[in-house]
Amino acid sequence: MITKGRISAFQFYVMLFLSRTLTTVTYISSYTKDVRLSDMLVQPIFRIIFGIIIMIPVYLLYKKYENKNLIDIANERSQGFSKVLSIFYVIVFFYFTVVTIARLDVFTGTVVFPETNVNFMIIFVIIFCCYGAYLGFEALGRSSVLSAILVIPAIIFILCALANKVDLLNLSPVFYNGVTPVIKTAIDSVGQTVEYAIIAIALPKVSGKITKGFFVWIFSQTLLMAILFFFAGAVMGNFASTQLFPFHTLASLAEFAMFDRLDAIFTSVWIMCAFIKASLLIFLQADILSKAFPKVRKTSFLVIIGVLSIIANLFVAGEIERFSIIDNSIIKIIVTGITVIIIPIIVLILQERRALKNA
Amino acid sequence: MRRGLIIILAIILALFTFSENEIYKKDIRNRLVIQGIGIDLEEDGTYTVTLQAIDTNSSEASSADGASQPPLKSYKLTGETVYTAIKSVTEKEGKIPLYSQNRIILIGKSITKENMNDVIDFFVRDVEVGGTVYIAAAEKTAGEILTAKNGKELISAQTLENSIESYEYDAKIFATELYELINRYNSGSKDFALPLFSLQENGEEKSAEIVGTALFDNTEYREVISKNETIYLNVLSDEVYNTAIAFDGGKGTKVSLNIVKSKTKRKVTLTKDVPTFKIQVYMDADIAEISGGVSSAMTVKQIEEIKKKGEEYVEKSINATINSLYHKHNSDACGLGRLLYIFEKDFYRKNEKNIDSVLKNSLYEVDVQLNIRRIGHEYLSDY
Repeated sequence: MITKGRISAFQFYVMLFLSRTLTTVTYISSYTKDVRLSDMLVQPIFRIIFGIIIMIPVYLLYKKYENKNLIDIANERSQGFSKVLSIFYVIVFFYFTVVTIARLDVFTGTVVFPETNVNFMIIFVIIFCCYGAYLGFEALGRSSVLSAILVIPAIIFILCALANKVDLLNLSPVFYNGVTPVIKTAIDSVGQTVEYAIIAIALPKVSGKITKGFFVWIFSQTLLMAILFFFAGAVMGNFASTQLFPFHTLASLAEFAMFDRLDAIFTSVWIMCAFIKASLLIFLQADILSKAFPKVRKTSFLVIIGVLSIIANLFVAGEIERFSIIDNSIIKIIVTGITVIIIPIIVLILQERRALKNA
Repeated sequence: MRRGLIIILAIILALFTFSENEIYKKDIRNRLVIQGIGIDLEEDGTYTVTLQAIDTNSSEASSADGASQPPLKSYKLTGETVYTAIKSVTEKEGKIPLYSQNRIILIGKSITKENMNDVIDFFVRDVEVGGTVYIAAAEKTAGEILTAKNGKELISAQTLENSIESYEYDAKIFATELYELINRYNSGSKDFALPLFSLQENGEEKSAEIVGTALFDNTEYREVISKNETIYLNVLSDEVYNTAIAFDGGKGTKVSLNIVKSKTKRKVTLTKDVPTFKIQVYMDADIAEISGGVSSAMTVKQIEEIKKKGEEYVEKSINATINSLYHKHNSDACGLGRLLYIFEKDFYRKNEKNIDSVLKNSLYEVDVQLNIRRIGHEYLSDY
């Protein structure tokens, strides 16, 4: 690794914002059949509440052990427990890396090069992301801020170009099928957010106003989500639910002056966010492994993770059934629940017990 | 490390670029650039798809009048599905269809509301087609229009597209893009409307003209409303950008107004389970012509009279169109049923299956406010 330094809270949350933006813009409508698009406008309110609640255990740990993450704290108790946790988090981050690249593969294979085998592109992207991870946390933080400067105006531009197509009658009544499906979707949305687990692991590498940054991050990405769903519903209406990637279709409807179809801009946003997200996840895997097994070089871990990611993604690529199995929202909800709620609570309880014993 | 990585990336990029005959597929000379797609359903259940494409083999690059116009070629294809029919063009021409430049999808009389889903599914799935392509109906068959020649040249899909696009200048056309059609088709009554093309023949000369709007409702055959009624269908749908109306101005005069701005607000209220739709129309208009009277200076009183008569005329026309849509044709082409779905969801849910009869028995209150913005370059006597 090039650097072991910290990054600012601003850089960190910008990185997470881009990372979550990828999940938002790659929203697949078939996941939420009972929910109408207007419900998705309300869903973010529940999402913020759930997001804040589930982060309470991580926040309590952070308050008590500011410069340590879950694995470091577990290491104080038992090296074996720490190693188990390390491997578990690596598997979780590896899973999300594969899902991220697989979504990119489905997108590219469906929208960009529908008639081409994109296996080479998968290999290319993973090597590129491994190189990003090799450059380190600081480099990723800096490139995230630069990417955000391009991504945010690009999204605003696309939305402005769509403003004249907005028809409020295209929206559907909120809670048409009751509140339950909306709450389920909010839980699903929280489950899709690996960034909560990233926060739990990467906080010691961040300096500055972390708590304030968290609230700004959760509100900003939820606001972006609500705005995108509003435009998707008000512009496309029921057409949105017929599309695999509704936000890409939304961008393809945008017209500005003599420019038709702004989906090319959207694709570049997607690729930039995918690079940041996959690089960050690969970096964290190598970082955790290098701490758990200090005798092995981090670069070696990067190579191993890269090769495994390529193998896994090539296995998933080209078969939509395999993709739907790995991109399963129930798996993600369970994984997020374990990494963000259960493990932090266990660590917290163990530490409290130890403190009580010592007292 | 970096040098090695750059070499690996360069090799992968090269492999990616040259893999899968990518160059062959991207070369425009090997693609059939589709301009228009016509679909007809035959009695035996097969589809006849008529493609109009740019003839890249032709050496003719300009039309008879010397204007630059790509030479066009048409293909009649048959298949069990729309896709298999289109795909068979490669056998004939040896080229892969490119849909991204497609200007129009034209459907023949055999396509009804019931079988529409089978027709549009391919276009919903295919990314290249794009949601903003126009969709229209043909009076008889779509093939007849896309293969018709005006003299030596085909009536181009671009001409058809231009005709539809003129809706921004004259609301006599109910322009519908693919995504709008699917949006309507997937909601409530599923009723929708499309501009209707008819092939006009005058000896050797042929042209495709929009003669009205085809309403797709629950009947087996489509109903048609006139171009004049289409203006008020657009008013009811709040889709008027610019149009012209003419009405009796009194004292033997005929007044023509250029509507430069129109906004329609639609509301629904329920009284004893009977919906009342309140339609408020705000229009800005310029007086374009007063024919029949001797050209003379206008007074403010005259303008007020024109305004009053204009409001009455528009109101009457909207009521007539509502009557035509909901009582005569049983069609919710302007989507008022959607208001019930959004604002009276419990009532809608209860009556979803018989929404047509609910709309037929609903009350409609129309209120038009016309603002005369300009009177043209003619003297105003009160000043």
